[in-house]
Amino acid sequence: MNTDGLDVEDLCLFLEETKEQIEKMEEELLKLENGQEDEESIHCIFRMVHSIKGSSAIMGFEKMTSLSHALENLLAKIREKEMHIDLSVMNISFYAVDLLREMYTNICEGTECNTYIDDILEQINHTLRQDKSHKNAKEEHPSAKEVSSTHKIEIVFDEDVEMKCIKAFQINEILSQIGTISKTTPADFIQVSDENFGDTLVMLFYTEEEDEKIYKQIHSISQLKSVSIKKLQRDTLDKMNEGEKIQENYISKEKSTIRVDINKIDKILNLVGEFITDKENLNQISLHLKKVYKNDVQIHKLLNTLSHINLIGTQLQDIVMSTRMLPLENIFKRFPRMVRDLSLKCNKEIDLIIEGSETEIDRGIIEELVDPITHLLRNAIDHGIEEKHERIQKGKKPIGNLKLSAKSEERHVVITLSDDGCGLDVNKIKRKVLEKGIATEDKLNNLSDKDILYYIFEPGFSTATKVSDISGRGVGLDVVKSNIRQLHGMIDIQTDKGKGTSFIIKLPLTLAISQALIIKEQEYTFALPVYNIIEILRIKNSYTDKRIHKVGEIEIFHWREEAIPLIRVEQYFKIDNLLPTNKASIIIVAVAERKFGFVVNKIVKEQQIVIKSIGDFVGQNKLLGNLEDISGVSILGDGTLAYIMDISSVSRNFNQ
Amino acid sequence: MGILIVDDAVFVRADISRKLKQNDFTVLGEAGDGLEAIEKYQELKPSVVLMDITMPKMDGVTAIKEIKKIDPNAKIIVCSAMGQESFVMKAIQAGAKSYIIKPYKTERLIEEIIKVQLHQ
Repeated sequence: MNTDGLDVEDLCLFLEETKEQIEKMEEELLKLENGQEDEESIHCIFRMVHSIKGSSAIMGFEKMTSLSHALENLLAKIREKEMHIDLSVMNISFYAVDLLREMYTNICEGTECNTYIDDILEQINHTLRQDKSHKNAKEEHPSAKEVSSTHKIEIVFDEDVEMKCIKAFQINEILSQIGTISKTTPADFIQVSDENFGDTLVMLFYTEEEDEKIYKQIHSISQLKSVSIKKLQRDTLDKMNEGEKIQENYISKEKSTIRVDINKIDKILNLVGEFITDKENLNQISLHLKKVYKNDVQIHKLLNTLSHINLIGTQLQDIVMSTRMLPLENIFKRFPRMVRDLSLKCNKEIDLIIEGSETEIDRGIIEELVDPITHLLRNAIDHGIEEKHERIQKGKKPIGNLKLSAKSEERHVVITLSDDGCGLDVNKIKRKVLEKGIATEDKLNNLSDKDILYYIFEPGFSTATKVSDISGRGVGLDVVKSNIRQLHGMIDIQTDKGKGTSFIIKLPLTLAISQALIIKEQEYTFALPVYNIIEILRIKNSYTDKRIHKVGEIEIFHWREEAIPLIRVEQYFKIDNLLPTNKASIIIVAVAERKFGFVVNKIVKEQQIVIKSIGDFVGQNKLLGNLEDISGVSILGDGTLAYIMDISSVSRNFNQ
Repeated sequence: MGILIVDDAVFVRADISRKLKQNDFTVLGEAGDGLEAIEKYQELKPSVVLMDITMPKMDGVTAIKEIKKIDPNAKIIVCSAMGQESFVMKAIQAGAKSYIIKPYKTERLIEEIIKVQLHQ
């Protein structure tokens, strides 16, 4: 593979386009397999492969060219209805898509393309050979060693040609039999009327055939005044791509946007984060100065300027955040394929419905969601949805339903994965928990069914009786819990025995900056993300208030006809109470649909915090040890370190 | 070398037939619609078919598809009126080797016939 001398811009365009094409191919293959579309999908896949073949040849990615060429031969047979689509053809196609993606990744990372393609080429050829009408499969199989070449073909039509678009189409078809057309001018010639066509058709054509053969093919078409074929050298090609019109259809797409290196955006975000910390710091200093120099004119000017800075800070932050937002489609689109493969493996038929993939979330979060969702999907396919005969016996539809949906809710995104499978069996989970020694029977007896469900997220827990290679090693759901927690998200389970299970993941829109309530307990400062807070109540004496009752070890607060368990932050985090005080505030928070109250001594204020992850320092044998219930830290304006409370973790630990 | 002329207008068929004969081509037969065209094709085995598009009973595009099923190597030239790009496109996709737009000069027709016969 040789990319020397290629313009970076060209490479970017190529990569962007190829990525889209690979994804589109996969999407259409899935449709094809589901029997949703037939001919149009085949044509579409064919076009994608065809175009990848052409552009990769121009870019000099030989393996990609060889593979797409081989795949194209296979698809051509299908398109011409000389071959049927069966499972083996589908599997080969999916495999080829995987390999193309691997090559794409290699190219992206600038590494040598090591993808081994001999096997798949052999598989494709084998399939083609089986087809009797295809006698010369081997000849059509291009080897990476063969000299490949790109030609610039200029065809001038006779003056009196009518329906030039059709003439162009004929030439296109006839040349496609012996090679690949990568670009044409006019670009989308089918749409061009005779008046706008001009009299010349220019094509970039890649073939292994001799010029003579190209001439012969073209001359089977009538009414052509002249045909010129030039073999392009590498550097000519580059120059051409830089300047010539041939690229105009790509460039016009890019008009209103520019591509920016994500590192730059991250850097801007970091700077905005620091700016906000300083801004909060300035606000504090100014409050102090205001008290001291009440009557100074300059102070008022300072305060005015500061309020403007605050405004700008908020806008700046919003804009930078929005540039980091990506639609969930970016990761959702890979799941249909996964579900397809897994359900085949499990011998189950499953329909995956995806909704709300346009919902946007911070790009830092999006990639971290792949693993948890993958595990939950696997779990649903492997353990949730029953086998066909079992479903029929239960009177369910034989095809299982999986629904992955996303929606925005104020400052967070809710992702729900529901299946219509067998549901979670609380008794089974109980038995498993005891069997594995995760909890004692006494403890379990005190827990509600809902709390017991959460044990499936415990390390080492697995309800599957036999270990399969899909899920069932007891690692999957544990990963879900830790990943979602890392993202400051919450996860909730709703299950209906025999009818299905839903996992509800609630995530903040962004990780880096958050609005939080600052709480002080003795010398410790905590930050409580506001999106969890429902209400704040001040009470005179937390020990005598009539709304608080003790039920066993737990204090219950009566709030709006609900009984809410209370957590005294001081006690919970085992902070020595040096200055006892009765005054307190109760902060009602919600995690998914669970509510509880924090009893805190002092609420400082609400402010924006820049979250710094402490993930690398937390855990057994790590710097900070096992810091459960703390999801990160933030440096406040005055330099204090605030611990960001992980409310979902507190809620779980508290209940256990 | 024999030609089959397919057109629903008797006058057009007669006109083409006469012009071709004047230029030493053999006209094997004529058909007035798509169905007849398929029958005549099997019966006469012409080397070139001139096919109109809009015809009763069966249109030209369908007839081309059917003939191509019988003989994948059939050489068919579509004769179309102006402004029927989409039909011509369908005909080409169905397997017509070439097209010619009415009204045309006899030389153009002859050029097309020779062209499709020369190239397999």
